Amino acid sequence: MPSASQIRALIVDDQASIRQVLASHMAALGFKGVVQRKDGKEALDYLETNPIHLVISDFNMPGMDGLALLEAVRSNPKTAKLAFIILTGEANAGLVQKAVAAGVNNFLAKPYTVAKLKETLEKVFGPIR
Amino acid sequence: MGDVMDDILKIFFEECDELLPELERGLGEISEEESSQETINAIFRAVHSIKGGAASFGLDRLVRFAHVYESALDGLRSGKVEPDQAIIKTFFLAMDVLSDLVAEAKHTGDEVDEGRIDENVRKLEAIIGQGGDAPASSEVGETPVPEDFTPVTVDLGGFDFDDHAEGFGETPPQRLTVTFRPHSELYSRGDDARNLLLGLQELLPVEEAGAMDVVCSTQELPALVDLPAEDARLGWTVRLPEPPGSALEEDIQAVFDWVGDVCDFQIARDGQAGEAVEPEPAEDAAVQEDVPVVPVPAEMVESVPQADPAPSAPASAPASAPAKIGRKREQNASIRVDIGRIGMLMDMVGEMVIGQASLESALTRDGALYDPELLKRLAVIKTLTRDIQEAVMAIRAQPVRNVFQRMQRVVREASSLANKDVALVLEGEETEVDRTLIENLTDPLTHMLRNAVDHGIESPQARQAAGKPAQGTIWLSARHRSGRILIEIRDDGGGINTRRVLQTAIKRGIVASGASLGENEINELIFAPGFSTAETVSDLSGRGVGMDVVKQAIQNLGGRVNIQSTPGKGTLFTLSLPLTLAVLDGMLIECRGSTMVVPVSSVVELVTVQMKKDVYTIPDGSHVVSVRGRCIPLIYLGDELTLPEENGTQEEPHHMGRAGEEGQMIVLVVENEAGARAALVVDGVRDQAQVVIKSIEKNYRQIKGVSAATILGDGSVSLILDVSTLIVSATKRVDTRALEAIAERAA
Repeated sequence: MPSASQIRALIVDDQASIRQVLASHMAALGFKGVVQRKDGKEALDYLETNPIHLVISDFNMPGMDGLALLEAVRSNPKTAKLAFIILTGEANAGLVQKAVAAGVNNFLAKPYTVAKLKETLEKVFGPIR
Repeated sequence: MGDVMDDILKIFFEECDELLPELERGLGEISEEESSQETINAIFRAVHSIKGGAASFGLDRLVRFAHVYESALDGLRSGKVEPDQAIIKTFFLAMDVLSDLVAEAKHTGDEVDEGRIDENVRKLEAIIGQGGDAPASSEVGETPVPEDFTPVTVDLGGFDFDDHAEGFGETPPQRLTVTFRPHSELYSRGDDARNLLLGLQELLPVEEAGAMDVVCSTQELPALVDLPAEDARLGWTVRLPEPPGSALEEDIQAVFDWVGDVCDFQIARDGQAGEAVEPEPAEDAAVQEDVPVVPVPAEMVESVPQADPAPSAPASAPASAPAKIGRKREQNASIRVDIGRIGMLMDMVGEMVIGQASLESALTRDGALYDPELLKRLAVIKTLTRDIQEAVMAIRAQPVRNVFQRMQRVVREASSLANKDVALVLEGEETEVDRTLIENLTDPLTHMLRNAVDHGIESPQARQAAGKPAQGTIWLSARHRSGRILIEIRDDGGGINTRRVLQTAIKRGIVASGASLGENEINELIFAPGFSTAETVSDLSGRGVGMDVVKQAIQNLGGRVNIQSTPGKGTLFTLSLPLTLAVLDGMLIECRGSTMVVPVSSVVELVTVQMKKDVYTIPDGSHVVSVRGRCIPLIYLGDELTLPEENGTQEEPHHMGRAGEEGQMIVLVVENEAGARAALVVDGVRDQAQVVIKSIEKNYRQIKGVSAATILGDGSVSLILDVSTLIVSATKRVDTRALEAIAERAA
């Protein structure tokens, strides 16, 4: 059973407000030092040199989007195993199917509550202290 | 938490301020058929992002509308909906609703009318229907995840939390513990423990700045009564993660290099990687009675909330903070600075200009010790002052783009209310202008554009009858010209109907009936207070403010409005504004013992004219002077400003007598934006100088012919002349036909 503070998490979203809301919710769940990046490209750069357990990424971002990031993460042996949750507010069945095919761990629909966030994370990591 | 959310909400609104113009730009591109899939994606993303953010803050009205809008745009994105003009118009109107809803959420706008929202929702839903999809569900934020999706659990075995770096091929981050206790010498030397802490924090990547634990040891602190004020009794224990591959230890050494002799200090490395992730407070004997955490100022710990998501270095690291040696850090492209600070800087630069002028005046005064070496150095300072002033101005400068783009909406709304079809073409949006000017331009521009739609552009039927395209065009342009910014509002409408304007003016008692006015004078009448030609007070321009208010607003900014109108072809309004409201280059002139300032930007040339040869009296008794074959009205500045005679006893029968003994006069040929010239007769020219503009209206009242005041180097107050007003009053007096006749004769 992992403690939230042990999970190193990376939030990827082009909107600073969304990132910060999520980061503050995660802090409320006990996460520490959650890192934020604003698009897929920056996230990959960070993942290149930093060990991360969990990526929560938006779908729709300029430049490299969430799906492309997911695919890149899964195709790199160094990062293939990490947990990947897609944050989405968009009912786009096609994208969801592609994400499932690419190996997404879970989805978090916007807007969400802290309870919903916890539930989503626990479906991936098991109970979180 | 509440405060944190408020701060984030502010960020969200800043994002909206960036997303809405992006949306507008994108829609504009589509309507001009310049769009690409990328444009459509950007439009969609803008609405999507606003919706997503709004949802996080429970802004339900905004979310509901954005959701429908987004669904409609989705049809566009997937190619199911072909964007025709009607659809684009719907999108534009929806954008206006969206931006009003944002303003409503921000509490900067009125509550948006429910009926208007419903109407737009209906139109958007019609578009969604066109795309073949079911109308958007009013349920917002329904989970998009298919029923049969099962979340994929990560194999915890794959993450050894005790050695989580496995598989990354990197050393796990270790934590270093820095313990230091400054001696009192450190403080007496002017350094500060705070700077050391900031120095340490700067070693960390910004997003991990919060990962630094700081514990202050207070155990040596005596009771307050026993506390020697100048002793150093505090120590700190700092734990910070060492990113793999970094040379943190060396960097920490470098931070303390500066103070090694006045500070006890040691670095310890945590033994086991096992504790690596969980930051427990150090259980050091030295820090057992610790006050909790973090004497580092909060703004240094959390990265300052800002719309620019790029990590930023702390904005105000003190200059004395220890230098980082050989360390690359991420540079951010911009920082946000409170406008008040820049305003203060600007004021101080103004004072500096005055101070320097006074220094110069003291050095060059009669009887002062003449020291060329000193003057040479003063010249260097002068150049520097000017550079600083320009640099500060550049900080305050912003492109007019935002104001201009807002005008698209103004024209859109105005034309739909007036049942006209009008396109607004923007030019020179990149032109940079002082921020204060930009803020104050919105209202006058809004009003002028409404007027242009309402009175300038004809109805589509009338246009077609006149052989013009049914769609009217208004051009709004900005450009720099000789130290000023020119903003032009041009329409291809019917031009000003001078006959009707004159009739109205007579009816309203603005001019006497039977007055004979030139075309320009008639055009100027629309700026007269109480003037409005609209037969019915329309929804648009008839809002109780007339063009006189516009003119006043522009004048308050140190600007001028000029009209040129061609019947049947259209009207051109030119606004000429100073680039800055603070400093100007002036020519110091003498007139009847007073020193006055003429803005250099309006001076064409300085000439000496011969009374007998060059000056003519025209039939109405006023004088003109011939300069290079062109006849220009003469303005005797002293008379114009009704300055008292220098020597009260001396009777001067007529202007002509004022010329010097030799029959020569010094005249300053000045020009206004419209190109009208006049010759100012002055007693002498003293100097050219940079002067700081001080408003006299704020302190006294508006004076005709004077735009502002300034303080000269010798400490005296001097008036800055409003050349344009002087020219207008001079040309009004002079019959232009007489001028032409004289010019012919002179040639």
